[in-house]
Amino acid sequence: MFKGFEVSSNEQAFTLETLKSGIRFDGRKLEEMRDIDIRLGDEYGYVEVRLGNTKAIVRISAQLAVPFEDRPYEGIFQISTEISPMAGPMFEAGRQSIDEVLISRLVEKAVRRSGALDLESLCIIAGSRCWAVRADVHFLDYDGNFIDATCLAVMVGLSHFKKPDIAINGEEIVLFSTDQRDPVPLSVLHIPLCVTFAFYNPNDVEENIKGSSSGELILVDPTMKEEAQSLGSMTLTLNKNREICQISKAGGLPIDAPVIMDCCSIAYSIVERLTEKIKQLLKDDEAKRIDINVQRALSAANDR
Amino acid sequence: MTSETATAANSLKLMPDVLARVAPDVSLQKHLHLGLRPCLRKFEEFRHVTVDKTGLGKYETEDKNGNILGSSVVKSGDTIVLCGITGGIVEDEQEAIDDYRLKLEDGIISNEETASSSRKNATVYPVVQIESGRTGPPSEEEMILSQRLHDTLLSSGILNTEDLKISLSLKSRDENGEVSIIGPDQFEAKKSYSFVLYASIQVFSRSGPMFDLCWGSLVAALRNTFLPQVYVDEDQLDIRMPVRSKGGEKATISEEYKLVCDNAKATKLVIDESMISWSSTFGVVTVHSKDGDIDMDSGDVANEDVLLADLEGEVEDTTVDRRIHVVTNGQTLTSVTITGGSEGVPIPRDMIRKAIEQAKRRSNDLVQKL
Amino acid sequence: MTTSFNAELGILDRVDGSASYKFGATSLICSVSGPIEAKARQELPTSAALEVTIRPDVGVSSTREKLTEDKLKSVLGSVISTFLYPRQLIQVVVQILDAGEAPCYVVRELVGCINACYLALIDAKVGISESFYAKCVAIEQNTGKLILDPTDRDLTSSKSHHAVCFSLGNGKSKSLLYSESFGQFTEEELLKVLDFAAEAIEQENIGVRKVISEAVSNDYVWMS
Repeated sequence: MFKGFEVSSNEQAFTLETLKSGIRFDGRKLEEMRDIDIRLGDEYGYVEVRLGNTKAIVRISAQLAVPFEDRPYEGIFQISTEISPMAGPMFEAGRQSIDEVLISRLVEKAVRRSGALDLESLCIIAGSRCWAVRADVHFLDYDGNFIDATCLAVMVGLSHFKKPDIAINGEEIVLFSTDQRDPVPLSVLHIPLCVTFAFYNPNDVEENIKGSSSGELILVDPTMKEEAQSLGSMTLTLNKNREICQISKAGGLPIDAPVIMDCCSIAYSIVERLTEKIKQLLKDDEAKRIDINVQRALSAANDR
Repeated sequence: MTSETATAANSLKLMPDVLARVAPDVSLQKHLHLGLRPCLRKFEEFRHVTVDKTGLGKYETEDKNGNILGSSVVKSGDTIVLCGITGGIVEDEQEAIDDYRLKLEDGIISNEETASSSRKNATVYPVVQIESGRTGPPSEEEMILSQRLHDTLLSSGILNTEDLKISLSLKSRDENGEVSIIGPDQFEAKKSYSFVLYASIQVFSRSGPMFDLCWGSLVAALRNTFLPQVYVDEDQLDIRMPVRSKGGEKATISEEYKLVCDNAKATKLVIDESMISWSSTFGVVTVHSKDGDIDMDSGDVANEDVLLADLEGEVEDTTVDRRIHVVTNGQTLTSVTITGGSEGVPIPRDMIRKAIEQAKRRSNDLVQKL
Repeated sequence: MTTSFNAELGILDRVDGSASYKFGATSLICSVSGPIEAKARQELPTSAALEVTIRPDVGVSSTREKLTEDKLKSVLGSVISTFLYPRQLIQVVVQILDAGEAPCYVVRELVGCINACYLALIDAKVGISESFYAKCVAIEQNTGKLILDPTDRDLTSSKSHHAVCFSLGNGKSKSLLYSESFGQFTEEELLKVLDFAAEAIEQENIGVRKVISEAVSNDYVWMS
């Protein structure tokens, strides 16, 4: 997929053979996602995500700003996804590769355009003050499937983040620090998550287009090596309400429509499981914080 | 002497300027052995600097046109640095005015911090342009220079945020069209505004490191910068529109004040005169024992470090890595940066002392000129 | 003595060397790839080219990062044995995860960058001519007391702040590689800061060496 990374034809043939017999290099099944490790920081909105060897960190931040003139009732939400050579020397510093544009477009569509974050709730005074929320995605290590990892990290970040509480006093805005009033979470309407599929063709081209059997191989969550050899990919974005937010299949191997329906149901079961995991994680984190706060309050009482 | 010419006859003969280009380090050493630098100055000799007004500023001339609030021109050698200060007005950040500490919920947090944080060092936003016959995005050197000027000014304490605050007056018109002005002591504005200053610095005929001259021109320009008196035009004061937002909470759209700058009335920008400083860049070079070839007779000639003041020209610019850079007002130091030293070629302590001393003397000479 | 920093080497797979470094509220990750093929415009005939990128924790990089990159480059340029890799490239990326100071300061960030680079260079096995380490110091406004590793709060109430980097040999601070100071201070104070930092660097070096030797013994675990 990325320039500067090539796989020998021997290895390609070998990969295809193993895939045909339903085995992947890392021992996964074809329709299995890699283990996801999500770590929340001490600070609100700091999330580290590991998808196998793919690593990304997301930082959510918010500040007061003036809303866009044509959208006076909405806050501002920006996602910045820039890949530095830290993720791998094949990425160039300061220049966006085509793949990078693709990743940022997909994440943008999956999170922003699906209305995951309620922008109207970010409005403070219509036309003059609103919150500007930023998600900065830092890619640390690349082993395929940045899209799923990024989307997940951004969504966890948004659900975890809390902005300082404010009070409106006529035209004045009073900001409260975290030790004075508890910060308030963002209003996240739903959690769209991406699942990326990679396609392989074990037969020849003719069979793929004319033949009636849909023998194409479909993988979930390809690694970098698998990505490099795939003949096409598709990213589905769903939420746990069984809604599809976005489908993106840009060219590549032609796939039968019913197969895509199958992909949807595979993706749904993955998304359902992930959403559960995220909810549990956030709940645990919240409990931990309350615990700490209670302890602090107790120790403060002791001081007196 | 004779043996030298003999070996030179066998080897390649190069004109001085060609040697400077192909082997700048050799050229530098040859010059230093003569007790001179490639620019023919002595080791610790500075260049002469002249600082002038340009007469371009809006409030310096009779016709009050243009938007330059202050300016300066600094010349040294062939190099000319032009600096123009322009300004803008921004509404103070909401966080700043409505800081929770000011709106204490009955003294939960003590007030001590507020007092100290209200007076902060301010800075300007400089853009340096080095004329090189090239167009396009700013070069790395230009970006670095701009940022360094910004950082140095911020920590120098020359400018203060309080002094950039605008005290608004109200310009009101009665039915006869008579204009009356209500001063800031009677008129209390709902919002507060500050000036933001931008500096556009242009360098012509760059020779060597440019920070010193850019800094000089920036400080000189700030010294004769005038800030206009700002009025609120009554005609557009405080328009409110009630708006129902979706959440049911009542919010208002409030119109910005219309601010008018006076073309004639302006006050001089307040700067801390005692903090006005000059910047000096020094290079540290090791003079190798003669020519570096095996000379049995003078084998004990030790390598000696020398301090070169005010680096100039391509040879010094490319070969002198060890630099000491001092910004001082003559007494206290504002910024000292020491770079390029390493295990093999360290920067000795006495060089640092010497550089600081020279910089102070230089600063005392030049600060009056600014 | 409790260690004032946390560091880990070799945390990334796709690059030649990497390290995370955290001290106080400041935390960052540095990666080093090299020697790798240089682009035509970067290539130097006799030595390795150095590409330094610093990425801020929040927002896009600006001239502020450019200046820090330049400072970092001047430190790395004098310690990396660039002559070993003619016509090659050494690519350094620092990702700030938490600056730990207000945006008008860059001391903590710079010190973190230098130290993270040192560890990442070792992890990448890029030839360096000497060990180096950096520390930041602030001088308190009223008392003139020197504060090691000032916090954001200390910085705002200080009259000057300094970032100092020394080379190390046999556990001793040797020569000054880089130093920058901003604020109001005297010559005596500056020299005091340099000595103070040199001593602090020597002390912390004990902990740093432990981290490095652990990482190296992990790397060579196959030999035993």
